[in-house]
Amino acid sequence: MKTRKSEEVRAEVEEASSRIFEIMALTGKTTNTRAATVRCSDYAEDEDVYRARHPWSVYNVPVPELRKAMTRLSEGLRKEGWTITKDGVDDSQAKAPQIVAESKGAEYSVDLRLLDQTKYSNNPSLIEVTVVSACYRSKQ
Amino acid sequence: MDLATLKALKPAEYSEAADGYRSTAKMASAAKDDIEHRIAVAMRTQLKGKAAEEAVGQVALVGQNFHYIQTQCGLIGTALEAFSYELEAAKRKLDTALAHARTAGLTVNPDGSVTYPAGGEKSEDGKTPPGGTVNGLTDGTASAVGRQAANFDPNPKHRLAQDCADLIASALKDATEADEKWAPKLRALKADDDLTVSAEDWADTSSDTKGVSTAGEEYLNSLPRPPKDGSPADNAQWWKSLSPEEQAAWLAADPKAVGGLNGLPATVRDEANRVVFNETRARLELELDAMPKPPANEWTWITAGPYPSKVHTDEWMDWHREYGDRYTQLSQTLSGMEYIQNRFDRTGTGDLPEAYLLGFDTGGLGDGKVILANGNPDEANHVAVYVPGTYSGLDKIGEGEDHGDLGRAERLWDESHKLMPTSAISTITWLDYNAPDSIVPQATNGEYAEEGGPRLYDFMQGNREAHMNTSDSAAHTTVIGHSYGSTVVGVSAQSGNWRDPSAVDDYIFAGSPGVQADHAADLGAGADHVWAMGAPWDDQVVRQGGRLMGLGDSLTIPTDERFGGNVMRSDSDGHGGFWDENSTSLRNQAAVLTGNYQWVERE
Repeated sequence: MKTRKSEEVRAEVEEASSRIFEIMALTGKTTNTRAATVRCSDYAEDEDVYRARHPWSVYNVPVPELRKAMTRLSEGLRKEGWTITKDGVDDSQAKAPQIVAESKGAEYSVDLRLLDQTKYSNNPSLIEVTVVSACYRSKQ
Repeated sequence: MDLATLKALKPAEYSEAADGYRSTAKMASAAKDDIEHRIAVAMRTQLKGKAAEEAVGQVALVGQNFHYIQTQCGLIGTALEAFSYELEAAKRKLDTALAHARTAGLTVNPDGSVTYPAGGEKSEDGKTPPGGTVNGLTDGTASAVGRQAANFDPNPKHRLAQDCADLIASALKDATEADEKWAPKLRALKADDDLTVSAEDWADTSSDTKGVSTAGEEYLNSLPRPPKDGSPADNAQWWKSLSPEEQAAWLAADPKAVGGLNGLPATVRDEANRVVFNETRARLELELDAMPKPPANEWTWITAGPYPSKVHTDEWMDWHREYGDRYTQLSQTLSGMEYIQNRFDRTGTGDLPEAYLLGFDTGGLGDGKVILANGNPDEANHVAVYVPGTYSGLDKIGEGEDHGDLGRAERLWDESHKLMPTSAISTITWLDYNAPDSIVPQATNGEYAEEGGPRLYDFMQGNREAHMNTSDSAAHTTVIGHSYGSTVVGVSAQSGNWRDPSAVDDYIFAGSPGVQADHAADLGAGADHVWAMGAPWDDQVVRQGGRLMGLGDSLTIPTDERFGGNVMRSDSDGHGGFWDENSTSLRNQAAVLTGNYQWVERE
């Protein structure tokens, strides 16, 4: 496992997010949440093993446009060397379209889902993006 | 104080001056909020680099200054109001005496003595009983003697004059006492004029608060008091019944009481608790600074027997015996408070909303009390309350690069905001119970939850009450219990009264060792609204340990099928090692707390 500075890993994950946003090629609104440092599940608290996690979404875009963006993502990520590990629907009752991919070099992974609200509420439909880094040991 | 002064005095003028200080306090509060919520946030998001960090630090100091001004002006306002109240009472007494004197045809002299004319029935020798002058007496015995003498006098005006003179004397005495009591208090409220708000300044504010609330007892007692052991609805009613001046007086004189009352608006509790927070921190910092530091030469080697061994030096041991415990305690509490301050400073990083300190106490039931909301819960569409488990405490509340239990609520906010970008969301870290400090035996014992559950219940009721009063409706509300925290949640769900409105819509249990119920339906939200998942933290030990120790009824824990709730997926399910349990459970929790049940992934 690499020893990294959390700040740097967060910055890299945010860069990966920017690239993903470019591939979507959407002119909607995005949330402005920053990447955060979270613990890796399988390590004890005193081991200081973390990953960076960046959750955000794009909304205010008609659902058909969101669908096209999902297709662009699947193709675009592949073209940039990401490995698509899942391209289908998730296991929720809504069966949301989902793409899971890992970056070249396995440094990041992204979980993308199209959340179509039209059937459920007046809240905006969106593409949900979660980018996470691989686990690293923190260098304080 | 002499008669002429009291006669000319207009107590209302002090009350008007108090108004001035109150509006200054208000202005300072607005300026502080503006700096902390808008300016510092904009600087943090738009500027980068060392100079920018320095500038943000300086701006934070300006914010501190405004907070200090706000608190001090609030105290001055309350002090002046209390002073005016006491003078008003003295003045009323004097006015009564003067009115009596006038009707009885008595003359009040500038020194407060009263002259009465000759009068009454003529005596046998045909003389009218003569007039005279009496001085007021305030001492009980002296005045009784004076009254007796007056009673013997055949001139009835003598008695009337004595009564008037006594009343005047007592009014002057009250006014003088008020003056003597408040003059030093008001002088003590003078702040030094440098720009740094130091620990000394906040400690001084703390002693000012005590001074004002002791000296102002009479005035404060005249105000409606918070209901004793009141329900959140009673508390809210009390607060609403107060005039703005009275609210300001309570905030200034007893911020600790105001900050602790369930049912009061989040903005009010936050304001009160931040004063308590700053004053407490200053007091502890000064105490720590005054303590001798631990000697640098902590260790030494001695050879007793075949090998040298490392032992503490005598010097260090002496220090440790004298100061060790308190030193450790102070350092730990202060580091916990530093975590909270850091959270305040994170406001505006990305979309993270303002923090509301809804509860704060370094003691609490033992682990300290920290209730901190991300976003105003009274205005939120979705509110989630996160109850941490074993080992949690004030000293560890924001520990680690993930910011510990404070960070967990922030991550919940981020994740929920991702799913519902246009909804108002508030996530709250709730630590107001004595969390077990070990898994065996403490976390396998239901006592901690029996004590904490009802407190959580009251908090939830208060949360609902405040939301109703602010937004005219209740928020969709979720309570999340982690590990032993879920046992606390289980007890809270079964606390209270069937007549109380339901304050919780969804329950989430992660890594639960049992919730003191054997069916999800027993919790009152409907089995469909109870969600359980395994969790990574010492999971099997906690869960199965709890099962055997009977934290759940009939050896049942929430992830069991027979419990009857929803079981959410928490494993990575072959999506690669990147999608660990923390990540999956975080997303599922956010889907529930935003009411998007269709997006939850179940087991």
